[in-house]
Amino acid sequence: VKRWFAVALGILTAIGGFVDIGDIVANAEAGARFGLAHAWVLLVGVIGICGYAEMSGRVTAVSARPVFDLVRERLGARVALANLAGSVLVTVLTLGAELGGVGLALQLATSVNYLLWIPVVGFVLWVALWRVKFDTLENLFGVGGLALVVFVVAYFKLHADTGALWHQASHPGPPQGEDWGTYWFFAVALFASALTPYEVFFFSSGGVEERWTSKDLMISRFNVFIGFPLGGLLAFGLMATSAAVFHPLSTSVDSLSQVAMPAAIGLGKLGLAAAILGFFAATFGAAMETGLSAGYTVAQYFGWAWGKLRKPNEAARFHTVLIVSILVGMAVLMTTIDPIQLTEYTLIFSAVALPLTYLPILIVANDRGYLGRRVNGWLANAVGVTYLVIVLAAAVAAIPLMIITRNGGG
Amino acid sequence: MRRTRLIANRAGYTPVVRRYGRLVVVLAALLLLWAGLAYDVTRPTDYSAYHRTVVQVAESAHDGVRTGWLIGREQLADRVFGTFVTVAFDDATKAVSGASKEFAAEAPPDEASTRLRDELSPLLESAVRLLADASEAADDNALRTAVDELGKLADQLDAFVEANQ
Repeated sequence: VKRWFAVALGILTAIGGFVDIGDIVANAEAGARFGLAHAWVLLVGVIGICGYAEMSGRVTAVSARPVFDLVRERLGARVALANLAGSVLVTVLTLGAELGGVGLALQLATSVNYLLWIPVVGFVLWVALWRVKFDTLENLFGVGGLALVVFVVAYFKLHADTGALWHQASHPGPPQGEDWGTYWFFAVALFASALTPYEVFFFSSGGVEERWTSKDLMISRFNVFIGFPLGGLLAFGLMATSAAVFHPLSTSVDSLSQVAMPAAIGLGKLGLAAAILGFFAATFGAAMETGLSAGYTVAQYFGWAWGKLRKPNEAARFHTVLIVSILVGMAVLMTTIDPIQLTEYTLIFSAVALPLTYLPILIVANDRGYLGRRVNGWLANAVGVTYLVIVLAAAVAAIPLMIITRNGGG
Repeated sequence: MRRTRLIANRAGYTPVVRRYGRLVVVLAALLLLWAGLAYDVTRPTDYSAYHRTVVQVAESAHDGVRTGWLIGREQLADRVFGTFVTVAFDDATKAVSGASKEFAAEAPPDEASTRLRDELSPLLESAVRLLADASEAADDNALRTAVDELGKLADQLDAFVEANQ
């Protein structure tokens, strides 16, 4: 019973923890401007993250070592440094965006400006990462993020024109008034939001923190193949409600208050409260994951002691990276850049850094020296190589699309 | 290690020379990119650029006004709470003020552009005023009036965008 409870909790955590500020912003913006014309991108992204997270989980469960540790050992310090630089830069920017998301959620609940919340949020995040156990943090915010299911429920209450939405989903392309450049810009952003680099590093390092062994492979696969697609459903809920409310009014979404509005329209004050709680839990949970992920990758690259299983004074350099990452994230926000805009930039830079993250994972997952008979099969390799091609195309196209479309402005 | 630095490849270049070559190419590419950006930022506005800006400004103003209309409608139906209303109106007002600022920053380069400006300008002024009226409405009647006006204005801005797209 205890084992099945752990499996169920892991799945719930994976569902709630799937969505972060990038998913919230990208799905709501795409839904408002293009209806469900990007639904296929979300599906492609979810399949991709499932494929690569399964590889990372398997590598960790079999070798009892995190992916980044093996990347450095297998590919050497220079290649791993490129990987480290790309992923840490994007992860710290993402941490800034997540902190901004927490601030915005608190602003919606209190009407106190989000900038005044940022130092408080940064401090609480640091204390939580310093004092609270890994499992407690992961479960609390993962399950809290489940409140975003309110958008799926609200969709049914909105009595949307399902025929029109189905037409948009089955006929991908820009609607009248939009162009292909903007369509693809949003496609790249959505794809990057589903495959954010920090997710795989956090997933694999988390596996080490939870002391996974080969016996836990099944738990890892349940989390990935049930939890992540259901998490994708929450993201789809954001896109669908935004498509139902804003797209018929030809209105773009560029603030968190707008993203929350379909929940209020469909379910009233309770729905709105659940949406704000979901935003808070999802972004705070993701801030925790990105902070830890930055610490994990840097510590694993340099071979330092790391992890929340150790006392902070035994992993001092890991905790220092963590604190510095939080401070940098806060400093970025204190420039008064709009957190939603920061998220948009982060998604594009994330798209550029994707190949640096995913190619090494594919190589390590094919190494018999680490995985023995558990190396990638033909299906995992087919998925891995296909996605590597997509990831490369997204990385090459991201910056030119950002310039041509004026960051999606059209 | 030192030995490899001195050995020339088939083309007769040492790795050190090749490294300098690569550096020159990267620097030249960066310089070109910088020059392109500088040109883009400093070139004088023509009708098509002004037209593009005006349409974008009208779109942003439309988004703010339509959102204000939605918030007001939900407030009248008692489906949202106070703190959210304050922030949501603030966000909508910011969208419109940002658009107005961008609009004011660019002078029309010719007569056709001036006509565009004169058409959009009063709509932007109404947008700021009506959003303020709605967010500070003293009672439901005042809010209802502001919401109706916001709805009409959103339609006008929508029509402006469609006519000029």
